[in-house]
Amino acid sequence: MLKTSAWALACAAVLVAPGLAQGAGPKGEIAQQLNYKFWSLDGTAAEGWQAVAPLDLTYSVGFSAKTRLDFAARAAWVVSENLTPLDSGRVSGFSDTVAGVTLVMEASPTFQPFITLDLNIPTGITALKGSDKSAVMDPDLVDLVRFGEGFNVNLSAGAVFLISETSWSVTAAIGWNMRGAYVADGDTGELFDPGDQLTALLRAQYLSDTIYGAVSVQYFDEDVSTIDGFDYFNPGDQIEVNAEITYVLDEVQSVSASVFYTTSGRNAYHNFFSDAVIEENVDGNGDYVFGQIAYSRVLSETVSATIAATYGVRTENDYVAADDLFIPSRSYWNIRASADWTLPGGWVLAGDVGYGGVHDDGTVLVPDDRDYETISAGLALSYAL
Amino acid sequence: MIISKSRFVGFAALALCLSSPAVAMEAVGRIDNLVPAAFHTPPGAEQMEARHLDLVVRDETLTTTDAGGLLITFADGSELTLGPNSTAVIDEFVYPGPGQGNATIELVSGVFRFVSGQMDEAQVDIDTPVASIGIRGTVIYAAVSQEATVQVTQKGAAFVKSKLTGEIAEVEQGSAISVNRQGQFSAKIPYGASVDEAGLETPAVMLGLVPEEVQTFPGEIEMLPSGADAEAGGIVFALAKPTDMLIHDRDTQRTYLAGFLLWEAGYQPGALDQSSIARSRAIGVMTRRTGAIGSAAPRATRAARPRDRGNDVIAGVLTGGGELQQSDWVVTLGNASIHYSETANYGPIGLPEGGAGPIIALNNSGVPETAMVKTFTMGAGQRVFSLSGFANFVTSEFPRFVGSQYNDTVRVILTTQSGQQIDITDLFTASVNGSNLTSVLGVPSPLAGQNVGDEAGQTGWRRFLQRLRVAPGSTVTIEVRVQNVSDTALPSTLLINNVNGSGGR
Repeated sequence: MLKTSAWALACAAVLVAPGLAQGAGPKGEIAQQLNYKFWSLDGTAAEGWQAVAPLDLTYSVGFSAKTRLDFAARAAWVVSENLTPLDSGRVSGFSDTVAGVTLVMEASPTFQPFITLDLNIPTGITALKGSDKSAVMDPDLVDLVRFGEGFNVNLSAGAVFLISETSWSVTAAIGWNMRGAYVADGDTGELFDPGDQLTALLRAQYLSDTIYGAVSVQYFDEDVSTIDGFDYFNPGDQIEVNAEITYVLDEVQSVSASVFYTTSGRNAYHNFFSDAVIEENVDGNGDYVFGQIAYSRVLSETVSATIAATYGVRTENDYVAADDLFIPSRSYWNIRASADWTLPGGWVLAGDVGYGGVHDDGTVLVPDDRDYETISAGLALSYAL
Repeated sequence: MIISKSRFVGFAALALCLSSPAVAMEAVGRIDNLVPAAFHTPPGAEQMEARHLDLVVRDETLTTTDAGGLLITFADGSELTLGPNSTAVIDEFVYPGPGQGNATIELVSGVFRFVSGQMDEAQVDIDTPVASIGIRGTVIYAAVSQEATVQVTQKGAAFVKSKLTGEIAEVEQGSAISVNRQGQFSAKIPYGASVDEAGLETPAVMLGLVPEEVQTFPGEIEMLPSGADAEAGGIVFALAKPTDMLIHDRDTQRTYLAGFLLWEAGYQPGALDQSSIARSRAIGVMTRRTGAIGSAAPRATRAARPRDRGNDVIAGVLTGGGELQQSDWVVTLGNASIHYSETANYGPIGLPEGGAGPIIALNNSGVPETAMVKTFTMGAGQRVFSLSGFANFVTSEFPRFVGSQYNDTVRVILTTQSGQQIDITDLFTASVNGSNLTSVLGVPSPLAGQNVGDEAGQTGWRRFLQRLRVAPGSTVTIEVRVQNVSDTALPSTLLINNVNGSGGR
């Protein structure tokens, strides 16, 4: 017997895929979130905060029992403010809007292809000027590091191969994200044309009444980006390995764990002498290792809760410590508690709080280690359509 | 099999809250999931399109089209799922509490799935045109027509009673049976029985397949078309998925799929079933980089994976942070009072478009070379140095000595604290012989007086942009050198305007 309550909670807390294309319910869901993050640098006056209020809409239209379209859209209002003396800046307004549609075909019990088309609609703030640029903060401290970009068209397709009906499956997918140009720096007015992105995925999954496990390998490749028409930057190819497992303890409890490992190839930058994009001598990207454990529990008929702890390390890169391209090791951790309260009429109220830290090792030029504190809180109200 | 009961405890109270007073007294369940088009008809009311969470009342008729489906959750947590082309009537449903109450559900035609709840199961009757079905801790399927009923017990047990003869047959878990209008029962067919083994004559040949075998089922499986039901003579009973039923039509030798999966109680796409989880996770990966707001993890997974670092951020295109701490220009080679000037205009040469502040000029009058520097200091968290500005190379070697050995040259060098040195002279194409110079008249001293009309050659204002990955906390020095090549007689000047440095993360 599948332990449904604990499964549902586990799925909500851990298994739900990031991204917009997931179905949030049989027909759809509309959800308003308000996520707040505050950070400060220990021993200094450096601090900042960001509030992001995404409005999500998902909706499924079934053409038949085995074919349906999943629509998803997300728009958000963002306020981002860096309060650091001499580096302060603030941005507020709409971010871009992401909208997508996924065609899901359960062609057979063992072969289920899907096609998804997602758009980034540039409704947000792209060109930042002067001190506004200070509102772009460290991606490990805030949720959004960009408030707007170009018109992107992301087309991907894949298929789920069910090896056995209720236990093993393999998923393969490939996608191409065509990214439009935009002006990021309002002071220079340069037209930044980000390179298109290739994403490939191979994933194996196991599901039983009490265990969910998956291992996936993702590959990301990106074309050379240009500035005002000149080749500028080509990030190294990236490989991300993810393993996750959830175990349902009983009717009301589940535990889960996940590990990410990300490694990248060498970046390439524009070289002014050769007027070409030249690959770095060594890998300038650190690797990432990131793990999370979570415990979820159904507290009552309407309330469930999850507590999760995460810890991650970005290793120092391959340059020597005195080199300009050296990036020191960084570690980050977070403890987060969340709860969902199911209300009558299809409403769900959810909230979460989190506390964490980011630690940067010192360098030759910045001898002292740097420790950031982060506080996060979120509220979400959703309604099942 | 996915069975959810606890979430629906207290459902009756919920129904009362949601309903109008008149309806609330009769509410016995609600529509928890559906696939259009599906309808329900309360007693004395017009047929209405089913909507999620619509209440179901006693004596209500439920109907689906050939593409539709309905999942009804009753007050005791029991579930009735209607497949395509199905009709059911809730004749009776009384549920005072666990182990109590009684219910009569009439399956008129179509395909159904019923999961028992907390009601006393002995008091639950499922009626079809030719049979009554009693349940015991049951998950059953039924394919129903006016001529026959086929009943499959997936879990627990069921009792099928012929309405004509009163004969009762027990259908144990993992088996199926059929009964026709004449009261004739088929043999019970266990899972795993082959078509040949079934060998039944009435009312239909049953197709016995265990779920695993369905994966390799050699025949073509189609979606259940309009009008296909038990009367077609086919029937049952393999479960293509935990919740789907195969219907085999003996006459046409076709096998149809009556999908219940999408309407399963508690079923959440992307959460609870194998393929949906796999698909949802894959789509999440594939679309993660569509746009910044899309890449932000949803609430439930905000801390579940490392943040994406946009490559434009890695590259330093979005150079967060304002201006860096910087020194004034310092003449390191030459005499500042002679070779350095700050003016609003350099003779006829004004500010470039987009320029600001004074025009800074460094000339090499009377000396082999002059130089000046400006130093920027990176912030502790800043690792991308961004330099922008305008430059214009002006020389009095033009036009007479273009192509000669008097190849005055300017160089601009960026030096980082760790010793990296980048000569960005090429940004200006700045030499007498290497640049495409144009004539400008009326240049000021010390270039004035070298040619008729105080003529000189200039590259014109050119914008320069440079980004360097540098060490946080370090310094970056920009050095400008203006060389007199082969003589010191005819001076040249490099004009600089609006030089800015900023630090990115």
